[in-house]
Amino acid sequence: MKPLLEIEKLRVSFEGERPVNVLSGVSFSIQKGETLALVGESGCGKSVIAHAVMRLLPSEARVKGSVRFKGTELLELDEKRMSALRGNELAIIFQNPSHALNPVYSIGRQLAEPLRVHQKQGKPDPSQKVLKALKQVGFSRPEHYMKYYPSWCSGGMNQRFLIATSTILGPELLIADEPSKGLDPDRIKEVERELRAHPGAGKTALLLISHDLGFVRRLADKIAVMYSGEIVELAEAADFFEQPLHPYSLGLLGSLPENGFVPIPGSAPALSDPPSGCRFHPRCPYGEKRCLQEHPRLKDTKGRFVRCFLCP
Amino acid sequence: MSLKIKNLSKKYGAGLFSEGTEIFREVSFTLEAGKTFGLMGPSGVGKSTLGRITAGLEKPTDGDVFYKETSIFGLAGAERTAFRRKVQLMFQDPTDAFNPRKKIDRSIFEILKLIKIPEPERPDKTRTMLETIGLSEEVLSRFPAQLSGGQLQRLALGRILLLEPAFIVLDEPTSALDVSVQAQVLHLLKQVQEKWRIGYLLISHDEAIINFMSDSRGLLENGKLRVLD
Amino acid sequence: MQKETCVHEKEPCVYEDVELQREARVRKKACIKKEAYLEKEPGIPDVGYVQKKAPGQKEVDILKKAPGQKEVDILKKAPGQNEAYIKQRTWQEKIPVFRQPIIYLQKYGKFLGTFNRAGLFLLLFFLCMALLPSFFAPYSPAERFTPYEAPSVSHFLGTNDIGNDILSELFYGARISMMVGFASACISTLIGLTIGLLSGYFRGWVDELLMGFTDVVLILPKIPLIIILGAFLHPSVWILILVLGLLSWESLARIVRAKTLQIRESGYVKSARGMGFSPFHIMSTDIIPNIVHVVLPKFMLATASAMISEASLSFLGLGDTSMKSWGMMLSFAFSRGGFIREMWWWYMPPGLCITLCVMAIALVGFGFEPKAGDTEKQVVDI
Repeated sequence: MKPLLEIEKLRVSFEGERPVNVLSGVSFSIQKGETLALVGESGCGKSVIAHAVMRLLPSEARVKGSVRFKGTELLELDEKRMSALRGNELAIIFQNPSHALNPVYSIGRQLAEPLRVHQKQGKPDPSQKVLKALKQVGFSRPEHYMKYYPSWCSGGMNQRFLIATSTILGPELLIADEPSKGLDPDRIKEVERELRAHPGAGKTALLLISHDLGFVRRLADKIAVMYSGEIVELAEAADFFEQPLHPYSLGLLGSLPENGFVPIPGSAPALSDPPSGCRFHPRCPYGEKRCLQEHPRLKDTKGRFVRCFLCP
Repeated sequence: MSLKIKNLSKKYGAGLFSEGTEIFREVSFTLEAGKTFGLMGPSGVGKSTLGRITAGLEKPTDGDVFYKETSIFGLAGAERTAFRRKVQLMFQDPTDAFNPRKKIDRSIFEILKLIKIPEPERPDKTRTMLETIGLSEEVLSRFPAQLSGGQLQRLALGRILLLEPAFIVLDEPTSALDVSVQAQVLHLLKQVQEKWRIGYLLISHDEAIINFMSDSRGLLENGKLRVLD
Repeated sequence: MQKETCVHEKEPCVYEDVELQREARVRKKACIKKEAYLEKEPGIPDVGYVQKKAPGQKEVDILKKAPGQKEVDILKKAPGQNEAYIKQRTWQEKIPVFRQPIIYLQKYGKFLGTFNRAGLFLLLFFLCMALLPSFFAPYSPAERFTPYEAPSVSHFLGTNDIGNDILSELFYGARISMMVGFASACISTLIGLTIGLLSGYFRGWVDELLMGFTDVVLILPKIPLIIILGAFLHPSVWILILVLGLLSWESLARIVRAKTLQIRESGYVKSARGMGFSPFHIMSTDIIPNIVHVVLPKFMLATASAMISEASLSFLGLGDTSMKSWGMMLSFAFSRGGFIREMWWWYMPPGLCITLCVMAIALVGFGFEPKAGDTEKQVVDI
């Protein structure tokens, strides 16, 4: 089957006094209805992938490689066709719900906005669809909430509105950029529930970007671990949590609360100045001599991809 | 040495004509040197307010905080300044913890100047501090925006340690950090506690962190504190 | 050969040659970097990297450095050098507040746009005029020639009613006009900054008192008051500066207060207060440097508006006749028949100078305003 989203050798660099290679050759694909989670420390380039797919990168960014969505090369589309895709077939949920909603419009109006923009068939009143969408994200009295303004609601409610807005058109690919960052556990659970139960759930593929493995574990089908601008491990979620192969994945799992907060020593290298050889070697407990000199390739072992010399 | 919190109540907006909203009522617990008291509770119950009152930055509506058996709200002048140094606060957002227009070294040197460390000793002091928090000297010449959240949170801790506090109020110290960095910072906090026998008031909404760090725990809910063990 | 696509352009574009060249350059740089890196010693930790540990090992000692290789630490590599570095840094703490704007200028000067550059150039020109009028002016402003002369080779802009050379007057007038502008802007900025900082930082009754006072000043009808004051007091440049300065600080005070209230709640101010820094120290090193970008444009605009006020007051005849500013020249041109005789060379140049100078100052002022993403957020969110 042809994958829904196919990213191949995606390279992004930011130009400046010193150009910074944020992504150095990232490749992965998402099938229809699948959830892929991109995991990694902040500053490893995971949000850049989301922005590159949506073509929302700042103007100093240089993009190479290819991003194919249903066979269309997104990087070569003109702005008009791109904005037709955005919101309609591709949707994104940003990190901070209270900033992503416009405070001067009511919830109902903001939810109807994508319908008005993207579906111009002569339906003057999109409210039925909005009501249905609100019901699906768990509001028992949607007609009541349609008249609300974002500032009247809690952050969790706003996050739910936001997910409803992004999914109201039933996009084929939904990108969630750090939806759980800075939230307390109850709200993380709420977000999790919404991501499972939004209107298009089941049909919609989800690209989930997060640093929180515990959160990702409950949602993802596939996991891609990123480190310093490249993917170091890509595997089915079940396999990954059972037996992580890359030393960095091991370290990440070790620092989870249930595993006793065992930290990975050191800190992630700056993208402007990555170490030679394997980028993880300064922090790796199993490092060998060749790790300092050679850059490992992403090896395919039984459907799992690992970037490490030590893996069979 | 201990910090006793006795029957604290806090109301906001109470005035001549309004009752005000009650945040919490009759909260009591004790912070011991070298021990951690973990304070849990959902967001918006006034955990941070309680932390600020404990550090003497805010006044309670009722109740008192005792440091070495004297009420901290009755202190004045030099005694008050001395107390302020002994109880320090560490905040949630590391990106906000340092003045964006000062390089790190300037922020650090200002503190050393404040606590009257003579100039020749300052580089040594700084070096010892950086060693404690596990950072290299290179960070000194950076602006806060050029450092990662983990590095900044370590520096925020190091900066506090320069003042040699007896107690630190940790207000969600890791909730803005990545999971892997969070583990590092928690371990660093434990290490520091063992070395200097500092008492922590750890405020967090994450039960796992509280369980990992605390010697005793309390749950603040519906305006009341329930001490769990 | 891979294609490079500009994401933000409508048509996809392929940079073949350019791309090749750049790639070669990048490769070259990378080689150099790699060599330098290897020379240092492989495995030298990055910033913030000190200890090393196997996963699963529960007792982690972050304080202790691992033996062997890691002993070669950045800390120990060049102790002498580091010492010097730290000592050398101490002078930085002594940078007085008044130097901050200069540092700011040096740092953000390159962000000025074309218009701002033009403004800067013009302003420098006028400043030269004001500072060294005797260098530019062909005659002394008091020297007399034939009155009402038309422009000629000896008098570029002719002469006025009492025979003074207008070009020379123009050069000497720059000093007075700009002095009034800058001096009264200095006064108003100083007052506005102090009042805004105090009321924003201390809040409570200090805030209520100072802001109440500010509101009173805000509703005073300025121009009539200045006219009355100008008429009652002896018309003098110094009184004018004082009056203009004392009556135009309220909006700055309001802005500074709002910004101070905001910065006061930031983590670094809160922790500085917790550590026991004095309010003065916090205000001068933590708050002021972070509001300079608001105050500087305001200062420039205050200068411009003070110059305009001075010109209009002088035109109304409330200026200082002994110190001939551009506004005064206009006033004389009006009252002594310059307009009736259609001597454009008399009234046009001072008018033009005022306009250009005010424009230059305003343009430079706008250049100080931070552009989105320049100062607030230096790092791209990754």
